[in-house]
Amino acid sequence: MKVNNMTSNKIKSHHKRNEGIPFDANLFKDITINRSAVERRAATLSGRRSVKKQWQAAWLLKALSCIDLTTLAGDDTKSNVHRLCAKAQSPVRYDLLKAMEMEDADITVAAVCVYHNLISDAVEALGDSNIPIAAVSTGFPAGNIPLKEKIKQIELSVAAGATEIDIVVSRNLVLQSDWKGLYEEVAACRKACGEAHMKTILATGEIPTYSKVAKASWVSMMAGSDFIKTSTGKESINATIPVSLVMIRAIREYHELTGYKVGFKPAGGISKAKQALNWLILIKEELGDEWLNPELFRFGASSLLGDIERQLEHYVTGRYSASFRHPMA
Amino acid sequence: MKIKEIYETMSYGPAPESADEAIQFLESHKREFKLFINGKWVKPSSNEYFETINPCTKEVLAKISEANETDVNKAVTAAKKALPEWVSIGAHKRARYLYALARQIQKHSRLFAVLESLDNGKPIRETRDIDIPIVARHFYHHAGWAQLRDTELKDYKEVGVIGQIIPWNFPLMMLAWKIAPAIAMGNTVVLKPAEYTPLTALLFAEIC
Repeated sequence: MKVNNMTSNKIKSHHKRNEGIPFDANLFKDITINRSAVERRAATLSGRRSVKKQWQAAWLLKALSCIDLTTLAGDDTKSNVHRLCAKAQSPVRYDLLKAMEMEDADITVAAVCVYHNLISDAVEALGDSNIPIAAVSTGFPAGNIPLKEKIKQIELSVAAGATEIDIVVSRNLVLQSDWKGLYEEVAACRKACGEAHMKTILATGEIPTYSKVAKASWVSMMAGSDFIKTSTGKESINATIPVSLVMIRAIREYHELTGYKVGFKPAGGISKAKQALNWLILIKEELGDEWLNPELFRFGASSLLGDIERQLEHYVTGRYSASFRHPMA
Repeated sequence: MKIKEIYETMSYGPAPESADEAIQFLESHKREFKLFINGKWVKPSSNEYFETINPCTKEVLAKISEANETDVNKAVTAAKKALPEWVSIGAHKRARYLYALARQIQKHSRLFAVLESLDNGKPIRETRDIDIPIVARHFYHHAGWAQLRDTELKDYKEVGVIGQIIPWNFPLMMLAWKIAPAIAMGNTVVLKPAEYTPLTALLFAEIC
């Protein structure tokens, strides 16, 4: 098998951004989702494939390279963020990478994700490492602030050095099926993002039906989202495989219609390496290999990285370390 | 394959199912199966054998006895002899036997699945996740019908010894489809599996 040049984690310039399309309710108004079919597909997918030995190690490294290493807590401080950024730049111990012959593969996480007021600390800590900084803007996590303030927040975050913006949609627009209103809100956010890539959080844990999740996915993509993202991590139900499947199918159909590839980001509750593998399998089966890179797939996670590193150490040494052995992210 | 290559291609690795137990079963018969008549392994009077292969590798798995008329008559005679008792034990006891068969299939399901995959060539996912669980469910299902024969299916009577010939596409599943309803209603059976795929039927005979 021919080995291509290693792809780095940096957003590749040749990737065509989703520019969005004019609002057209006809494209999604008839969508209905068969809940039991979705649940069945979700339940059987991960059992069909197994990724073991060096495949598991490689897949875990891939999962790691797709992580938006995140800290979104009320007690975030400068030193928290510095520690996070240090971990983002060297997520796996050098001796482990060397044992896997991956020391020159430029393994880093995909981005670090922080609140707006910590962007400057992240900029300082990341220096010229090329790791993008993602900021959660638009009144994260509830999104219940006026659109004008959302726009202002985005502009401030971009000015502060964020190159990726995670926005939250107004759930009331989704719940009231005000799709045109949602389109205008997301499109306005996209305009405010400018060059920065935009990930649109649907907060699926607060959307009552899969059909609405699919419609909200469609509207967000039409309005120009670069990524659609399941959750803020603050809802009681976060990323699940069934809801991801619904969103991924919408991405697939949108791609078939427009040619634009929209990325996908599950977030919240993904803390184990095994879960990460299941998500990669889902993406590979439903969207194909081209989606299996940080340009089009991200995990929103914090403790996942530690578990992946533990599993990699087990692969290299045959022994499991305690969960506190690896440096915190 | 190197981790770096897999990292680039994101291919699935091989995930082979261990065939050890199935091979052990073949070896326990020295890879030469006799006929199973009247609860015992007996040499074919033809003294002739043919090979069954793994269609994936063309490797010979085992030699299988070829029954001739004498052997078939022997089997039918045995089935005839077994019939009166099988009828007289009644619906409830027959149901219990069918239930026990289902339990045995479940207990050995992985062995059945691997052996079926080896002999028939279909992927392990088909046999492990579909065929064998359906076989077990069939025996459970017909255990229920057996129990109800005297109350809900009063018009149903056994017809006697039934000769059954099954194909190679769903070997053990076809066996279940034929044997389970027949014995549930009080019949006895002489079964000829497909020449391509006789191994799971032979394992079924041995286990049950």
